[in-house]
Amino acid sequence: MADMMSLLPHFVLERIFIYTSFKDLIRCSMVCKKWYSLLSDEDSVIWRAKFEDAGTRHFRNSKHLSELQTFRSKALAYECAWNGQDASKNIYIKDDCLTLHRKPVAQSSDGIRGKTGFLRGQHYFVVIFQGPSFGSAALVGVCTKDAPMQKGGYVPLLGNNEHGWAWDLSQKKLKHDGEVLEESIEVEVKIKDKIGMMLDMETGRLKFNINGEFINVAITNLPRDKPLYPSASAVYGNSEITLIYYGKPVVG
Amino acid sequence: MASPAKVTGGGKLILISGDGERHEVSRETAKIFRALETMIESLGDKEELVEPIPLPNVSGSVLGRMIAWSEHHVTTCSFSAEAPPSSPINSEVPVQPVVRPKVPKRRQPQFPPPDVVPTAWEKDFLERNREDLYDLLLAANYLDVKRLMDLLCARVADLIKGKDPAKIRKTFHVPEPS
Repeated sequence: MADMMSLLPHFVLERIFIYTSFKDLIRCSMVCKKWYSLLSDEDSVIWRAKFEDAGTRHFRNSKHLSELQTFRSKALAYECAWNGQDASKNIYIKDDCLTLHRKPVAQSSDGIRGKTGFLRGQHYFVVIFQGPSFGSAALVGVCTKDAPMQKGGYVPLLGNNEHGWAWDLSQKKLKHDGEVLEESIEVEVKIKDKIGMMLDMETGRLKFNINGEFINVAITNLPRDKPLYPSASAVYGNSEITLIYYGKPVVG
Repeated sequence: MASPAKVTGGGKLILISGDGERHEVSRETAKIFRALETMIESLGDKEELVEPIPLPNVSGSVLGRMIAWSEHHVTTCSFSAEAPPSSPINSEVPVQPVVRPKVPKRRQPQFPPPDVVPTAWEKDFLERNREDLYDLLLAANYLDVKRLMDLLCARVADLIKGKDPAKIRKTFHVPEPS
């Protein structure tokens, strides 16, 4: 059997890829130049099929996807959304597949991880606290797979141990391993602000912005030997938090 | 499977593979090959000898298996091509058999992709031909057999599943990119 795949007509290869999962397609694009070039069109029928497969109708119609331009980037936002299976039991994912809801449970601190962890490259996320309030402990940042996602009482869960790094929006501090990395961050963050989060695994930094505007808030010295997941934790009843993965950051 | 029949009638057709094998099939069976459908329709009720149809891109062994596929689906009927309205043919005009199947035009894939759960017979067919998926893919594409295409594409996608790039290259004999 010779190199059969390179002889297949374009149309046939396209049909095969329509049956291939998103994660498998990412690997396929590294197989050879022909596959790479076929998959580099982010608006092709192949990526459209992945988008149509992804999530629910509410996800595909979500206004949160409006800034993502291609079918591939929208399907990727689904692959990198909150993971309802990797969260406190007090958290569920809403129909849009992008927003979590924390049930009004007393004396509990609840967290969640994204579906995808990152070991290399630069990755840009937008996190939006939809309300009703930050409460006494609303945190956003990154963590490893080892960080616990639920704890009794009202505590700043993310960053409360060696496995997480977080911006505490309630206390206006950066935290890791239960310690304060930076005191009193003088940045006003409101409910529904777009909190931009740039994870740079090449330099081990996590930088933030608010509504696209530069602010001087960053966490450095992140470990680069294990995958880091976007994460958030909250204590306020009916808190809703949206995570949108934008892919590689746009330069500038 | 090769037939020595010289004269056909009663709706029979002779298909000739690229390596010269002759296969006799009924018109109904041949219609599963959608690439031949228009040509077969144009024959109308004509009973007399029809020129053998050369299929230069398909080998005799693959053609035999393609015919086995069609014969099964024409009898079970579940996935045979939906019967098109019979086209009025002017029988006064001598019919010139089309010797080349039409090139399948670019079709938009369906969303979501068609259901590809094979029947027991189809599963067995794919299993028996596991070494020749590639030849069957080319033949199914060339002869425009949609259901078989869908099953074969899903089968190849299954072979890709969970493999890293190096392993995919090995599976499909793709050379390392230079």
